[in-house]
Amino acid sequence: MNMLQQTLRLLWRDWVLEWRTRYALSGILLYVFATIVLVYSALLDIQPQVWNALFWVIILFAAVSAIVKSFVQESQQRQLYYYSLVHPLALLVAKMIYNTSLLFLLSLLSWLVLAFLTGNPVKDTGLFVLAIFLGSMGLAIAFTFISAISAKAQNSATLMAVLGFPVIIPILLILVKIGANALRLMQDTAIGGDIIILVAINLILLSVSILLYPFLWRD
Amino acid sequence: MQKLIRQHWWKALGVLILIYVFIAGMLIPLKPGITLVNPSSTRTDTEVVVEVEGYNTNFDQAGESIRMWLKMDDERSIAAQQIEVLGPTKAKAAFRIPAYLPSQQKVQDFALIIDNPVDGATVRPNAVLVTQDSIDQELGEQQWKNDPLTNLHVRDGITFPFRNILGETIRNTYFHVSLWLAMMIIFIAAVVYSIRHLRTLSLDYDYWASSLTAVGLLLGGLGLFTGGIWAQYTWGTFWSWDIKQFTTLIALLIYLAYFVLRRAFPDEAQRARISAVYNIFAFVALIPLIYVLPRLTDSLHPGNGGNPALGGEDLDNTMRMVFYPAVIGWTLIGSWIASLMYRSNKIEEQLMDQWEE
Amino acid sequence: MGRISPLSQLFLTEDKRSPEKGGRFNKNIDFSPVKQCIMKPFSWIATALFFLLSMPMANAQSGSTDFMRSMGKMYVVVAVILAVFIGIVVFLVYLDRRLTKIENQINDHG
Repeated sequence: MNMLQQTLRLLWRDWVLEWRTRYALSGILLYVFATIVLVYSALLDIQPQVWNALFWVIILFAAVSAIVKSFVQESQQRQLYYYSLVHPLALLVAKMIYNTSLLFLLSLLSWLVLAFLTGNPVKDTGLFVLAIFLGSMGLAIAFTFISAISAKAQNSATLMAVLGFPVIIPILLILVKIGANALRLMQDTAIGGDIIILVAINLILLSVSILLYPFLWRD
Repeated sequence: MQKLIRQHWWKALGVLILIYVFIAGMLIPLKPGITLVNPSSTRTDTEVVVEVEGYNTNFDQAGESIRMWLKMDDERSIAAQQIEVLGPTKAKAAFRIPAYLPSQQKVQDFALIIDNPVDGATVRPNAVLVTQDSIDQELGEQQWKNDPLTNLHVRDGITFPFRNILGETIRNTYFHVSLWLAMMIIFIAAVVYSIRHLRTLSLDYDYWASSLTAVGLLLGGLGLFTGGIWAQYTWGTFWSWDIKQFTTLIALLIYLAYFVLRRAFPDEAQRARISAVYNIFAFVALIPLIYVLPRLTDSLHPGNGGNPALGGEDLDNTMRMVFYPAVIGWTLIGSWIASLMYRSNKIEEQLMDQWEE
Repeated sequence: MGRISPLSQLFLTEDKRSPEKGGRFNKNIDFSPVKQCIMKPFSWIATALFFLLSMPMANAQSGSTDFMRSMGKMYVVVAVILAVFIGIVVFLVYLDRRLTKIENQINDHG
């Protein structure tokens, strides 16, 4: 099997596993629901700015909890099995695509739930969907790489949070800005520039991860 | 390298350079400048008396030989009719603004130039804004009585440039900016050692990488702190969520996480490999964070958000004399500290090896 | 080990037994003179700094109007900065010498 086939096969495997247990999906949805109910009861009326901030905070925590398991859940034997069978990049790219799609799906679902409970102030849907997509990609790439690093250590969850936190701040800042734009909270004519920045960050993270992952693989 | 870290000449050099930087940077006086021009706006066809306050000036010593101009552009200026000196730093000048200006703009800005043999020539750009009641460029050109700038004096001695708002704080350039540049050099060395470690898997390089990263963090932290102090006096607050302040803080946090990562691995060889990988990643993140992102958005920092970058406008020749040695000095001191940390790691390793025998 | 610098004599005690005989390299060194050596000048500098920094602070908001008049204070500021810096450098020199000594001991032993 060449690398592309390996990647697709691994990706399919991850999705099938997820679908069987629906662990991540249900967990995150529960989390979203709980957060919204809490905030709603505290504020009673969610202003668009709060909605924007709330949405991205939910996405952030969804990302952390969903992606943390991606490398950790693989047991030692399974890792050895992979090592002998597949090209390391195939595994990494498969995980990244899986995480991106998972996060994208989760974000859309969160958006739906949030809209259902508190209304949908999004005016520019296309821009928002684009933001969600790029954001999911960026967060997924960053966290997958960090997860690969921290899976080697014992207390991975905290380590992942500490390592990941500074890296995703720029991504989140831009996402909030684009989100605010989509909600028509502010008019920013240079929004195209921000989008390009997001794409660029994604590409940089992606290339760094791809370059460095083989070294991690040897462990 | 082993021999180099035991020699003392470069350490003494670093110390001496920094002593020079401290003394020269703080004691060389600023060039005379203009701090106040009142009124700062006027109309055409008026006699305006401008009150001027200078910095480091000696108007009283210059006495009668002071001359002032309002300069419109390189070829056209208006000379003061009458100048009254009130003190070493205060003076009043009367200007006659003609009825028509050779300009299409509704509001034309004029720079104020003061020249006297004691202080030399000083300029304050955009000192006076003149609003034209009626715009007629051709008439203005015909009627323009030009008083060209001639025989501008040059003051003897070495001085640092005077900038509005900054004033004396321009000296902070020798500390704040040089610390950042030294930090960049140290981080580059750290990433080089990380790469070398991944290629050879020698623990030596890992010790170097971690020591250099620690020193880089120290210099970066100092840079951030000096930047905050500077901001307190020029921008009003220590931390203003300026994009460059913020992204550099993130870059430093990423490097801080490097040390958290190191503590999570008890096995030395594994720790070395993983932290080398993370160091490379952190460096790759550093470059866009510090240099690219701030340039793209609005920023109060010079060199970003549309302001001209360091070099050219911001660094005078006299400042370069102190600035480049400062960078070298901080780098040398930083390498000294890193070498000490490296050596103590090495000693620990050797002792462990010995005791295991 | 003939020449021991006066600085080192501050903290070396007589027990220089090697690990085989029960002594340990660094635990026998008495740190208290070293602490005094460092803390005393620091506290002096700290008091000086405190008094000196409280004075120019008042001027700072007005933009340090006349540099020439406060030139006297400027010399003090430079002196303080140099004192702190020299203090740090002296500490680094002490560390450097200490490490060299330990390295030589290891090389002689091993």
